[in-house]
Amino acid sequence: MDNLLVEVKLLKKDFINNAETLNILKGIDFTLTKGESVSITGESGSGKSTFLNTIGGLDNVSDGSIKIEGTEITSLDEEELTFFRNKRIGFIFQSHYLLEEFNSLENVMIPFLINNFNTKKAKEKAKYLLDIVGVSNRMSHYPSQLSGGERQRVAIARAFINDPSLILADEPTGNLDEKNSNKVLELLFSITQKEKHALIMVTHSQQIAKMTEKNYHLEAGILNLV
Amino acid sequence: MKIENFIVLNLIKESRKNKDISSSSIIVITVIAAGIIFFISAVSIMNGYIYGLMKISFEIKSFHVDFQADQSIDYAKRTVTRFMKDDRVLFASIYRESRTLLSANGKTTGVVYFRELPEDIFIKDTGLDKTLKLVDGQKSIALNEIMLSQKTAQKLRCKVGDHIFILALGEKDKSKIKLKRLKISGLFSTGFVELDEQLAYVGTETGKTIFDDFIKYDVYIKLKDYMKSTDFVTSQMMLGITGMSTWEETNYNDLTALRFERNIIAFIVILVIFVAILNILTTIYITVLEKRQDIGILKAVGYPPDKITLIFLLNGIYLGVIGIIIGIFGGLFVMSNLNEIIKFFGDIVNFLNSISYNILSLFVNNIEKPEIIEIFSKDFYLDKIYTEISFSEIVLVSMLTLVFSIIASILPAIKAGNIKPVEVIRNG
Repeated sequence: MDNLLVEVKLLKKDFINNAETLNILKGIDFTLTKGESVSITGESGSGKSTFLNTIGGLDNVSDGSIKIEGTEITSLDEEELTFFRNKRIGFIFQSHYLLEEFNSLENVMIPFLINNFNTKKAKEKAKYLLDIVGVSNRMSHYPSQLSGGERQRVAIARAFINDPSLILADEPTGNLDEKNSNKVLELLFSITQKEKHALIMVTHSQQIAKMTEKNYHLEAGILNLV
Repeated sequence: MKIENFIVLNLIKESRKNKDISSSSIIVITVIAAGIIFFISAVSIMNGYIYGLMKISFEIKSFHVDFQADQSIDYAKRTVTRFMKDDRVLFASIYRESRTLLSANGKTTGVVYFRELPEDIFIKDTGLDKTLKLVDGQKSIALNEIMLSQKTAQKLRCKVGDHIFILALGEKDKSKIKLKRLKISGLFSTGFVELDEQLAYVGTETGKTIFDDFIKYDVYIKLKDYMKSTDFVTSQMMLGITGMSTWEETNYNDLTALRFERNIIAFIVILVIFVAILNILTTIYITVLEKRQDIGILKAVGYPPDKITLIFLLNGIYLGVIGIIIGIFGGLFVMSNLNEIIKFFGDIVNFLNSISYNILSLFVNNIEKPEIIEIFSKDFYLDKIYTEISFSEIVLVSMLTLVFSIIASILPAIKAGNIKPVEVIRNG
């Protein structure tokens, strides 16, 4: 299938805690096509974030395979994986995780600059994205000088700077009030749809989950399409 | 490297707080700079002392080359004439010397170099004239006159115009002793009191009445370039002239001792710098712990582990380099103004002493007035601190500091590179 972006087969993730093995993911199969948006719901501790982190190459797997655009990421070494993440994946976390020493513009520019130190181009693109997410007037502000909603918007802009084919969002509005939450989600969906990025979003909210094309539920280590 | 520079400079600057430089960076830079300043000061002062002492020694003690003519005055004079014709020679003169006891007012002291020189020596040997600074009386060594150092005169409790007794000992035959009464014509000082105490001068006419029986003539030579003294002696040996010694040979023991002292001091200061470098290790280690989350985020957005390591390595190198540069400029400034700085602190101490005295005397009767502290008093070893900056040693210690900085940064930098982004994200 040419349109296939993510292909997960028999994904297992175990945690060993005090000689006790916890099977968090028990052989998950999952696919995602280009430009598709899916949500993953589940109870706290069900392994939603772990699943997202393994797809993003942030966490290693106990068994199984994860292919993104045909690349088996479980066989990549750490350096190849970071390069892969930089080029293909955009992360949005529950907490903004912006770098405190850098202003909004610089925070957005950094992923672009890592493999292409073209400050002029990075600046142009970062400004464009900050404009789209509506914080262009906060470009020179540091994270500590921004509101929660503004920080999350800057984090969204950062996730899109390298035009990744896949956006992984882990409770992106978990720390925001309803008003800001709606604005951020609206932005996230409008950009992913406009730029044809695929989106996997972890959320507690059924209401938010309904905004995606598909909704999966993770329970007892098994992923089911709702 | 550009992105690493971009990140590390923001970390050092702590730009989120609108600072030009973070507090921890300031501490590291200050300690390194202080270490370098201490090093430059200690080594320059020791070098200054060695070179200062040597320069004075060239003029009045060891000279550049000493020729033990061990012959008649005519032979010595002929030798002087021949040496003066040599293009490499600046000045040459005959002289005689012995160890002598000086006595006056019930006090006795000894001088190692009781010297007989031509009466017009202060006109002809301008180097000697410049080095022997007249403190009192006049530079005269006419018949039955003697010039003493100020320190020797203090020891003998005598002044210009007073008479002292000298007891000269034979050079080879110690049983030969000459006693003579001489009048003090002038008191001199070279700035190095220890050296001053070893010297006393009389003229040829006086010398004849003291040395003639048992002391032979020597010839001293001052070259245009003292570094060529060995070449000069070698060339003379080729002509069959032996009995010459260079300033390096004459001062070998003193030079070795002083260089040893200087190296010990340099070693101690390098230990201080090493402690400063440990400060880099601690600071970068703490920075890595503080920046754990940032490191995790950078890795999550695609920053490779080896480049994370490079960032913290650069952090240490930058702190080291900035500390070294400030230290070098600070050290050079301190060295060029050392005597003024010391005098300034001396003035502050005296001022504080005076205020304390004035306040205390309001409450306590018969309190003793504090003495004025003179750092360069006449009784002190030196009349000022001589300094000689050795750029090769500064370069060496700077390189050493930089290497230490890199070594100190390696461990925390590797730790930074090994931080797992998922742990940071999971634990928040």
